[in-house]
Amino acid sequence: MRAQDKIGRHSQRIKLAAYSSMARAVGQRRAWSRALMLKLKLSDKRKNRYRWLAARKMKQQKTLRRGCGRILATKRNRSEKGSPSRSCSGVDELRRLVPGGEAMDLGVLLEETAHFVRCLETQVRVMSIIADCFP
Amino acid sequence: MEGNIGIPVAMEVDPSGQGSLSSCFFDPRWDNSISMEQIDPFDSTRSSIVSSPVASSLGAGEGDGGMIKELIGRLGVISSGSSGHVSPQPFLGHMSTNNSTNGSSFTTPLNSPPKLSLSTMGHRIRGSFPPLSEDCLVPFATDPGFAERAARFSSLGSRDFAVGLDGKNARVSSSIVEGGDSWEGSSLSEQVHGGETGNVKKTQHVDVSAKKRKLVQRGKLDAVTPKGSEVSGGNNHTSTKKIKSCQAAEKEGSGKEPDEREAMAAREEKMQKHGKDSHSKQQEPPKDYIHVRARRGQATDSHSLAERVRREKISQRMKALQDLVPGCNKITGKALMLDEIINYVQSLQRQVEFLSMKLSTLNPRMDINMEAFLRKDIFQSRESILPTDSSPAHVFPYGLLPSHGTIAAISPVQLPENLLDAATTPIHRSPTIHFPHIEGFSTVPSQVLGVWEDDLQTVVQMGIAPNLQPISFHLGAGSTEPNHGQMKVES
Repeated sequence: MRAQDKIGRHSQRIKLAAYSSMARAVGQRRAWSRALMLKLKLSDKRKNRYRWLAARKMKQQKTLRRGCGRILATKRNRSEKGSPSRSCSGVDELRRLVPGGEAMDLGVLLEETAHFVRCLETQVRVMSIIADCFP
Repeated sequence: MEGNIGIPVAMEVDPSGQGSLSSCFFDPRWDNSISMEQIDPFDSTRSSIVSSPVASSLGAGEGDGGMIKELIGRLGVISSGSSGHVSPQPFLGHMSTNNSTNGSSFTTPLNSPPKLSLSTMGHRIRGSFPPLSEDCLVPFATDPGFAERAARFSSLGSRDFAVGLDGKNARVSSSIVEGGDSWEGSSLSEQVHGGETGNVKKTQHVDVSAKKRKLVQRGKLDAVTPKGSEVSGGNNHTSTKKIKSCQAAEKEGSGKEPDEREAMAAREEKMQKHGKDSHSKQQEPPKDYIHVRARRGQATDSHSLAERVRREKISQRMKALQDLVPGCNKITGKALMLDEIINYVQSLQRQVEFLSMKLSTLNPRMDINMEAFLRKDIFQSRESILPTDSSPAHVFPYGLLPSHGTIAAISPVQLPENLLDAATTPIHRSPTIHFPHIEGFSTVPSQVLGVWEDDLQTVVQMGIAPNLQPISFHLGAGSTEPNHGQMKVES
């Protein structure tokens, strides 16, 4: 049981590492990568609040929180007023899948989806190569 | 009157002084003078061609739409007689919307008989004649004198009618007055040049490029003289192409040629597909706004135009996605396509999760602090340089040691090198991966390992590595190395 939990957590961490590295590789060039990096930062911050490492970096986290709060507020505003017309359910589903897709126009959303799909394909390929390298 | 200004000059230059032509040119009641029964087919087309500019000049406004329609109908009948596949009907509907453009830029009528009417009507109708083949020019190719005269008339017409043109009018008129001998000689050379540079993909539309722009009008004026001579040269099927290429060659100085060619090619492709006057968006460097053509039978207000632009953009993106997602060629329709895309994205995400589980079972369980180092990767905004030398690779296996300190039964030092090589070389050499961020992705596996590398580097620096103790991780965390936990993507 515990081993399984450990494996589950381990795989979760590896998955997060994969997504974060994917987003970092793209950098700030794409909306989805920016949104993904922000999301990972925030979720990390919440989880690590009481970790000893977080305690060491309280100052940095404070500045991050202030910055994230601003970013969060602007993002919320954007999604509230800029939420484009939802034509059909498929589009909503796509918005949920693509990071940051809530606040995009359909045209921008499709473009980001194309780039996201290519990045995901590459990520899968890389991870399969890594997995094949191990005996 | 504008027409009267031009006509005397034409009369002087016209050596043969064909009375019928000049009378037609003079005659304000041009539609009465022309009749299919009186004149032979060539003359009728000629006169109609020549006089249509007159019609436009002689007060052709909103009221003359009917006359012009009739003219185009006749032209269509003539051309259909020769080529057999022209219907003037589609053009008539467009004319009703083009009254405002009468008398605006006027180019040579010699490109093809339908093009003449286009030139009189203005920009939009020109596009409606794509279905006409170059065979229409055959009847004209056989009459060099007429071609020359018509070209002169047309240039005169453009001088008179294209009031918006600047500066070039004088040049055109002077060239006309100079006489036709040198004209033909130079035109022949130009024709040859045009033939050499002729592109196969260009077909009819010499004047397609945005009629609203004065630069294009200037370019058309420049190309008026060689056009006529090219037609007179007697090229049949490729004449239009040569005309176009010659005109394009003429326009080289303006520097807009590649843009226009591309725009024209794009438009021609579209028109050859639809066979109607459906111009795609035009994007010209000198202007910032986008020219959008209203298709036939569609509303022209700004809202619907913007809506159409948006819809076209979305359809373009959907097509791009269709190429990405495998097995979507047969699916038509946005909803099904979207479902397919969603399924594909979900399957990719599931694959990532499955592979991460596989990797977690392959690797020994990491110490809890490694997770902190991974998080540090996310916290840091900078990225470290991937170490190119293999020394960090040597310490890699130490990073995989479980917490109890035994040396894991992992393959020796060669493993990370193979790993990096295997991970990077397929990506680098793979021709199928053409992503803009590929250089970033080549370091993805290294990034995943890079965290360990950095900390293990610090470990090595602190000389603790040989001990192979789990404390090394703590030390890595506690050290204050400047490159601690930095990641940078090689670019």
